[in-house]
Amino acid sequence: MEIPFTVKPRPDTGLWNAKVGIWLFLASEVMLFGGLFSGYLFLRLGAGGEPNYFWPKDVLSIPFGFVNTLILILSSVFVVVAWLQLKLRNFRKFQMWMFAVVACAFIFLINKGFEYKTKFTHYGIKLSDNSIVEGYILDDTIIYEGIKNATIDVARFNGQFLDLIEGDTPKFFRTDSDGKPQGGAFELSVSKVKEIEEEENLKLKEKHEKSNNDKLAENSEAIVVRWLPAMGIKQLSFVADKEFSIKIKRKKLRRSFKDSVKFRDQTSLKGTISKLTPGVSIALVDRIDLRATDSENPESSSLVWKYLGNDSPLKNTGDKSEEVSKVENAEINYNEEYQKSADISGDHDPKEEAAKAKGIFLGAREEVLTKAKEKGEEAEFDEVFNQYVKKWETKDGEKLESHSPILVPWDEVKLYSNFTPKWNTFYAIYFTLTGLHGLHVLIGAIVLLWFALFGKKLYDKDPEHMANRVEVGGLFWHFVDLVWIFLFPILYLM
Amino acid sequence: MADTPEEIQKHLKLYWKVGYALLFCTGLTVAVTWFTDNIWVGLGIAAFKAGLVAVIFMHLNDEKPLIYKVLLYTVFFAIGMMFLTLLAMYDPIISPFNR
Repeated sequence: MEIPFTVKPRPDTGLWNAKVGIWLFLASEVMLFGGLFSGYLFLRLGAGGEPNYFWPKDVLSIPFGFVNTLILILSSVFVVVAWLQLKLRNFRKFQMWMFAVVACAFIFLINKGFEYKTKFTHYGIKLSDNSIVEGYILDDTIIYEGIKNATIDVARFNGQFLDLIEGDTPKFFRTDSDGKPQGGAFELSVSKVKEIEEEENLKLKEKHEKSNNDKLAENSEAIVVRWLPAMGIKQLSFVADKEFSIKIKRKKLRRSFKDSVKFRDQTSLKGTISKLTPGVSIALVDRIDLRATDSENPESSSLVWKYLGNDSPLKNTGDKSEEVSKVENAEINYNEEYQKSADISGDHDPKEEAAKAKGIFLGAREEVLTKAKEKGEEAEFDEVFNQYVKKWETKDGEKLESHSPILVPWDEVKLYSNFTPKWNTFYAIYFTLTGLHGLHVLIGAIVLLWFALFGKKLYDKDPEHMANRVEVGGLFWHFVDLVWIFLFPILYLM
Repeated sequence: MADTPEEIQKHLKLYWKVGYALLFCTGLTVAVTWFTDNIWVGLGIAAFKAGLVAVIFMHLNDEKPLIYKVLLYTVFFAIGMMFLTLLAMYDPIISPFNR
């Protein structure tokens, strides 16, 4: 059956059907993005009030966003030009312009990918007084020593901790309720746990059935419950034949305490945290934000100043840091990145660098205050307590650069993360808006590429039908451009 | 739109002109941030650009009434949604412990 009104207008609407369809779809898209823009407005206007969260400033690269805007606008022009080429019955030229559109789309997405990557490798730590430090190369390795006892969740055990044991893997005994070893030693593994589980469940099942039978013998009408798998064993405890230690990135754990750790599969180990890993460190601090701090005079009393210039003890432990890089395989390679980046591999005295960073913070702050005074205005809070501390040029042209590390003890860490939605509300809405927009770019580009590659057959059959299809795809593409026209100023410029 | 080749060539010229205007306005959006912090200037330029895209590229200057009707409702509700923040400000969630 022929689909009606693909070219000729329908008498009651005066439009061919696909056009009504795409406009209804675009109307729903307006509501979708409208909702997210409204969410942005809510978060942005709520920032700076109660509870204390502050909007980050100057975190996105304007040239990057600017170039991407130009690319998208150009692609929007190309798409109407391509459509007009179909109207002129010039399929080759249509294809050419369409390929240009798709190329623009992919350049846009690649740029976006670079922007995302810089966010994923940029970290922040929120201290217990709500002050914030940001920078590069985060290390949250923890070493737990003197571990003997392990408790596991039978259903969820994945054996992760066994791979993290330093040196020889010990043998394990099962323990009784008093924690005393029982039976012979064995090598712990997922399959061994399964074996024990089956054995135990069989015992429990037999016991259960025996009690059922006893009840029925006493009273033939007694109510009995049949055996259910959920009645099986849930936890198992083991003790090792010698003490061992593990090394892991803190964020891969579910919980960690001074005397125990819990993995995501609910395995918990008892030991002590090594003095080598007293906290979380950033190797190169680039911003200090004291806007939300509880300190009275944050410029002198914030906790940041106390810990700035303390380096990760793992940094200079030779082969130890190599082991770290083995543990964290998917993330930034601690040791290699350290050496590669000329910025931090140099012979910087961390304490000196910390003093420089503080100097830059106070200098830049003073400059803001004096400028405001000269103008007779009150200095903007956002600018007084939030400074980029890596590079700064004084009024006299003196160039300062700091390479300060920071090491924050675990007790003083409120939150640490790379720049993802977890870090703050700005990144939450930034990734939602740009991610959803990016998906639209990707899908739009795929559809337009499809028209360019496989449209010839329809074009030969009915060129006007093909032109209408392209018009519909083009309308979607203009909408995607239109969303970005608003995203660029609100995310990058304001 | 009329489909004679002359008319189409005319449209082609118009689209390029609008494209240049959009590129220029993008530069302008960045440039004004050096002089003013007023967010409405940037948003004003963005709205103008969006208008150009909608009216010229999306042919809203010459469309059938049905589509205008659909968009009228959409714009009404989309703008209404922007005022939800205002509602939240007038009806805050107050913690019983006033923390």
